[in-house]
Amino acid sequence: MVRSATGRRLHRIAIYGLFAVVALYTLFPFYWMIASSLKSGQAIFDVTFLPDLKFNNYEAILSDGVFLRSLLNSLIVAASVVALSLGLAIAAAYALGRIDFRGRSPIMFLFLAVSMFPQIALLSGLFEMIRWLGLYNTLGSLIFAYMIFTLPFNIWVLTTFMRSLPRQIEEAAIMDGCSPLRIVRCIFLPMMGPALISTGLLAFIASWNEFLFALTFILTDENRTVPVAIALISGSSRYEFPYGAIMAASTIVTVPLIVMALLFQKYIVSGLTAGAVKG
Amino acid sequence: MSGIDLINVVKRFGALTVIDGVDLAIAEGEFVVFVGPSGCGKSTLLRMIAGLEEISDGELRIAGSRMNETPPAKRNIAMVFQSYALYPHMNVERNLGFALETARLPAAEIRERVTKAAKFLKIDHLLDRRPAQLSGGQQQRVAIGRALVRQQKLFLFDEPLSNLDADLRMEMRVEIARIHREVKATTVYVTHDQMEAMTLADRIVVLKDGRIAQVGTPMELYERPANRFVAGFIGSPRMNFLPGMLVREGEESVLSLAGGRHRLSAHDYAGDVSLGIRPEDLILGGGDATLEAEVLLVEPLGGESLVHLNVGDGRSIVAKAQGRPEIRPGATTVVGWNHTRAHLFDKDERALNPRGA
Repeated sequence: MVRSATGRRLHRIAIYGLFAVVALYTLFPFYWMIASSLKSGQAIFDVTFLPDLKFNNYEAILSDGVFLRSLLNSLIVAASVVALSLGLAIAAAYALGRIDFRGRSPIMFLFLAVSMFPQIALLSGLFEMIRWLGLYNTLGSLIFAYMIFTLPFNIWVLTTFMRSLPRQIEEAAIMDGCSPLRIVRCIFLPMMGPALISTGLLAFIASWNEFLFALTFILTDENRTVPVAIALISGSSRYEFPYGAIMAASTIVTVPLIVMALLFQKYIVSGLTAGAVKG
Repeated sequence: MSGIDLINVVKRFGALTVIDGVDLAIAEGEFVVFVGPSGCGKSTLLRMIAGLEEISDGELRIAGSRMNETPPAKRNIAMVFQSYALYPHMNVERNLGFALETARLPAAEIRERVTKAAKFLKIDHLLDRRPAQLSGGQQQRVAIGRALVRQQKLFLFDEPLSNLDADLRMEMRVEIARIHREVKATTVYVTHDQMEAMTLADRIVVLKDGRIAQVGTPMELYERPANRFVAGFIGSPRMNFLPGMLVREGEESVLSLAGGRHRLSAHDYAGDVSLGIRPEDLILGGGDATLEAEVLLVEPLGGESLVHLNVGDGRSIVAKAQGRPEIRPGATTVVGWNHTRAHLFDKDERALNPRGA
């Protein structure tokens, strides 16, 4: 588009202005969280925008065995969910994306429908199932429960991706003597890298941050995951709410997610858009 | 023994019959080309030989034994795909060796065979590259190499050159001919390009609507097309067709065209016919039979020219002339042909031959 020099400048100012507003809107809570975590004692109640750089909140939270334990629990749960749901989703995606059978699209829509239920609606039924499976108050209960929302999404994305892979490559592999298992393992998996990373990462984030199931299915402190553990951090007396410690814990919990997102960001975009556009 | 026999082979997709009873015997070491317009079933037929499509009816035999139920990997076939279908995440060396790796051959032998095939195809300097880093022609060579390393007796090519530009296509055509000469594997090659078919094939199979229209050597198909479809399909530019009427008059048959009557030797058939004459058989200004024509356009191709002519009734025909004829569009000229170079087709489009021929 042709514009005058002033018009161009105004246009640029408008874009950067809008950009600043969006950045402020999304990043300010994070900034506030980090800034608060670095203040100590009463300083947290003063409205200052510059942090004190006092690390005693971090010292306190990192010497708390229960919190560290919950970090480990979260890691176990999130990693297991990623591994299991990717494994199952790949198998399902191969079947749904590559093998012709009757009822394929109803199954796909069923997955979509399942992922639309609100969590709270599933809670009591799921609770019964978990009790019946003997998983109550174990990390297994959370791994089981989180698959309910990670699997449909993963299957949906991976199926779309699998469909977009050229069929002739699969046929070439068949002519080369590959079994279906070898086709998936040696041909499709490497080609699906971006999709696996993006779906895996989203499953990880979802399980890492989940609160409601984690609160309901876990009874004791040593099995808690991080979001619940943070919510249950208490002060030295019932009249003290330990904002500083909560902020420090929240920061610690957020950092791995941000690092991972930055590390894999180019895959996330290519993974989620691949298959969306026919090449 | 690694010939292929197709015995009344049928392929149906639901109610749709794509291959409608094909009978064909391909001899060991023969280079057979399936050619036909898109949708004629040529690729389907090839994929049925490969085992990528099930055979609905009839029988496929390779080296004399029934193969209908044999999985593709066990048919001892190597196949080259139109899109090359290289594995994008593997370098050229692994792409070439993957089938051998799958068959659990010893690493040393894989290496040896890959190196040999790569040298043969002049891609030995590319072994470390990924497919994305190769040009179209190089990818094509890798795809052929992948088939070569398996040292099978049977090669299938599914329109391997259609993604290449004209120069490369010519080069790879020569290359494929060389490979066949040296490897001597039985080869089935699918293309929609009649030029490829003419230059490569020992025998051409022309397919139309899932049936074989004609089988023969390239020159047989060119000289004696069995029907109007084959006549129009083989040869470039296409054969010209003019409608006419064939009438028996004593010991002769008379062909009436819009431009005149021509005496021919006796045919058993009488009725509506079409006369087919190839552009290269039309003679400007002479021949056994002639027509008046108006010059529409002259396309010089260098060594020869294509002359588009209007022969009345809005019918236009194309003549191929040597050099650059001295005629201008709009001029009237005479165009003719020799009866021995003309083809006649009856109203069912079958080729007509004079009695006794």
